[in-house]
Amino acid sequence: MDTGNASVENGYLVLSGVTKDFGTFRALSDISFDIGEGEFICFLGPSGCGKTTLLRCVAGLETQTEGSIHMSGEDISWLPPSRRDFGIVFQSYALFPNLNVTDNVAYGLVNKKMASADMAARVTELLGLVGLASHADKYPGQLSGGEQQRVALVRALATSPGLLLLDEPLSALDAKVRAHLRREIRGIQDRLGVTTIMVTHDQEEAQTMADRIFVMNGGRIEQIGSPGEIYDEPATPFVADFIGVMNFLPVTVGDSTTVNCGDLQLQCDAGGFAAGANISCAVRPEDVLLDDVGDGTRDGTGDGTGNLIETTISDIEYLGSFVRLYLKNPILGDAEIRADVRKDLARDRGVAVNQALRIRIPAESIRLYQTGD
Amino acid sequence: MSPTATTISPARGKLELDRDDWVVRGLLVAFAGFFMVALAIPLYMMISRSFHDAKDNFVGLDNYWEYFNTPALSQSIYNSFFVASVSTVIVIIIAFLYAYALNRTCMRFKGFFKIMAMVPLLSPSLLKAIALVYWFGNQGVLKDLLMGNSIYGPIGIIIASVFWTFPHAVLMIGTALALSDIRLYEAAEVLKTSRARVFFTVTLPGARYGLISAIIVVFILVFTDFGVPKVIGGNFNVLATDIYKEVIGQQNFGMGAVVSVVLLIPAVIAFAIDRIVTRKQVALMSARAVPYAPKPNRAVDHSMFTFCLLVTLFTLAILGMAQYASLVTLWPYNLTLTLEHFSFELEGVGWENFLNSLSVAVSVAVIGTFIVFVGAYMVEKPRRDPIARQAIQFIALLPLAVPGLVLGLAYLFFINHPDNPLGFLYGTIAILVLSTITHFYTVSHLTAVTALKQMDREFESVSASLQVPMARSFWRITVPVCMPAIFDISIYLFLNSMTTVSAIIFLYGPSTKVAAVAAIHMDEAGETAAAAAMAMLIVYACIIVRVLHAVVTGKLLYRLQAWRRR
Ligand SMILES: Nc1ncnc2c1ncn2[C@@H]1O[C@H](COP(=O)(O)OP(=O)(O)O)[C@@H](O)[C@H]1O
Ligand SMILES: [Mg+2]
Repeated sequence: MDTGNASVENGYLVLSGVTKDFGTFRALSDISFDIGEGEFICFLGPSGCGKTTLLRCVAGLETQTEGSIHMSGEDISWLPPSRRDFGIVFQSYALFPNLNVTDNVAYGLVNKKMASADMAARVTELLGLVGLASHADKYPGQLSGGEQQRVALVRALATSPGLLLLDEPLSALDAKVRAHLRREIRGIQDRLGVTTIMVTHDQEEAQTMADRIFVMNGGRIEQIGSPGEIYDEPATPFVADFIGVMNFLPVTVGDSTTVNCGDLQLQCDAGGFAAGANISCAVRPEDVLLDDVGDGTRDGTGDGTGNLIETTISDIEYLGSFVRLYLKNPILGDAEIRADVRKDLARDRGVAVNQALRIRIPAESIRLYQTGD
Repeated sequence: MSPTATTISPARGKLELDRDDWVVRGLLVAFAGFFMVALAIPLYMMISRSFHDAKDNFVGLDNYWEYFNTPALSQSIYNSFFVASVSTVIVIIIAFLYAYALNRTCMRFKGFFKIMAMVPLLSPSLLKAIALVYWFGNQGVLKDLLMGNSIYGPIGIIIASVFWTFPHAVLMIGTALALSDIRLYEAAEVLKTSRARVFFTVTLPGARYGLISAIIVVFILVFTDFGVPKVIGGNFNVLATDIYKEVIGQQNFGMGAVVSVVLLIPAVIAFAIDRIVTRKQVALMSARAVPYAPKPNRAVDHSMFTFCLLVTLFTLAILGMAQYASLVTLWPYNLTLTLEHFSFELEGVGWENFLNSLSVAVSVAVIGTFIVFVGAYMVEKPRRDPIARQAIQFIALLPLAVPGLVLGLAYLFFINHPDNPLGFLYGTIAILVLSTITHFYTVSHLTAVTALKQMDREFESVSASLQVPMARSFWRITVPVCMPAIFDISIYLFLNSMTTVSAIIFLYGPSTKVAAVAAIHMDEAGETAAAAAMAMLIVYACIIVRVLHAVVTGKLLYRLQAWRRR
């Protein structure tokens, strides 16, 4: 995974050792990263983990307690917001309610001493970019949430800033509009090539939009990686749990190829752990396979290497194109294994609550994590 | 993750200052200077004066010793507490019922009653006292109702005080009652709670902070009021009239300062209690509360209507009598109507007083609104210098605790100090305007802060990111969006400047006497009808300006705030 050999020379935006304290509370600890020019980055993490604080430090709206921030090779750590080169969109949009769409978008241009014809052309161009040309004379109060969001976006882009900062720009919108705007924002970003940081707590949003995702937790960056990497190779149990859905089983390491959960033995690569260590074993629900035949797969094509578990279905959730089964086994106590099964498979199999079900967990789908960190 | 930034700047902890940061600093310093001159130094001089004798030798507590050993003086403390307490109890009961009727019943003509409740704000407090004299005085129409008691004294003070503090109490209690969550009532109804029990367990506790505030404010208003006891107090002395007598009558400034401190202390304590109580209130109303909508109840609605009608009739009786008094040739002997009282024959009194009032009120409304709004913006919006900004916020709350007469006397000491380079301001319109702005600063400031708080916190951040100077955003965004509040502040300042006496009665000069002070002087000289006429001029001006204000702001807001319409 490429987390970058960050250096001031090659990174467009470089943070080193940024720490932020609010009184005695440490909101950010020792944040370092490196963003390349034109990248689309998402800060992803649960509410309160410090995403907004980090974004505001980059903008100069908060002052880091320690550490430095460089942008295109220049040390901007101590520059006020007005002397940093960024545009920002807030969750509330912060559109000026008494100015119409045109004046909102032109707000930063007026200051640039542009000829008024150039300015009008620029505003028209920007509004065209987001398909709002026909709304130029409306006031923000007369626009829908999605339209307001787009106005806020082009207002931030109007002065062609080197860096675009978005703080949960889509969270106030309903699901349909949100999905549409994801693509639209990403499309504009691709077209303009502006380096962008977006804050979000919605992992799906981050997955669909970002070049790289910075997963944050408790004021730290847990992992940096492409959407595929953080899903397939989560570096920590937190990331594993936060991105998508994950089953965790408490296990003890047997040897370098097995772990034990009670009487149950699971084959997997446990090479990195000492025998006898108590660790946790993580499996994605979609990696849990049904096994009616006992040869490793339901349809008889498996290799029959084992990792079979006898379970009882305790609950079923219908989630659109697939079905999520909650599976119990006495060894697991109260814990349930979640298994996602394609809808047609579930139908063919005729799953029902209290039914017995044998599952198989392929060795290569198992990830092991140190517990208690 | 192995970031290896080659240059790491040392932690300095502070961002560099940009131009706006310097502007903010400059303004914060300017405001600190303003409050030094307008409040701190004068008050300091007055308090210090109470520890010095006439030749400016330090005498410790001697003045206080003398004060408390002169029964004629210290009796006033008791008197002031007495009238203030009784008036507070009465006005709170009446105002609570009235506000309850406006907010919690389906009584008819609510709009009319709402306006009528505010009518007393349009006249100086002494006008109510004059009207009472005509109703209940020695030659009063209803004198017999008092059963031999004189209206001159506590009875008159209490009735007039109840009348003029009534709108303040209705406003505050009304706000508290309006902010109630209907879900509490629905819950009570589901539990089959009796109406009376609901009132005592839900309604009263819900309004308790508003009630406490109203009690404290009304108490301070009556306790420190000067106009009413001056006109109708007779031989019944209160602290405020004592200050006036010591300063104007006896030229005993030291004793005036002592009485001022005696008046100031309870006011400051009451004010501090109010601040502590209202601070707790913040979290009371959850954002998701559903506002209360009253259901019709014939018995309650009718009795409340009758009650409000009675209160309104009383208001009209007072105002009507004042109007009548200003028109009658010679009460009660010659009842022909005449306009001769409006020619103000008394020496040193005339229409120019009324014009002075107008210029003071207009200046206060314009300059005061500007200062207050910029000050509130400095407190609320910049991100840096939090300690300085909090200090300004705290100081801005103090004027409310300083009685007008005390402030006026403090200004007198300040402006007459031989070393004061501002001494030339004595007797000018400028000093009247300054003292009046200071006197009414707090309420205006709080109105402005409330309006600013309702604006998106990030407007300033967006402006900074777009590199637009703060001043431009202030004029282009903040002022237009806050226009309704700005108009509210200006009308508040105008009306109060027209009707106030206390903050300026020690400060006017021969050519800058204002109408309300002139009315006091005419009443002092026995020219009660002319005093009523002068006071009525104030009422007319207030009504006209109030109506104009409503029309103009309606029109202007409609044009300026097209964006509020969908
Ligand atoms: N101005 C502040 N003063 C004190 N604590 C703050 C302040 N701003 C944020 N915090 C705290 O810092 C933590 C991170 O906040 P934030 O960056 O807003 O989280 P996120 O955007 O990830 O939800 C939270 O616990 C929050 O309470
Ligand atoms: Mg946030």
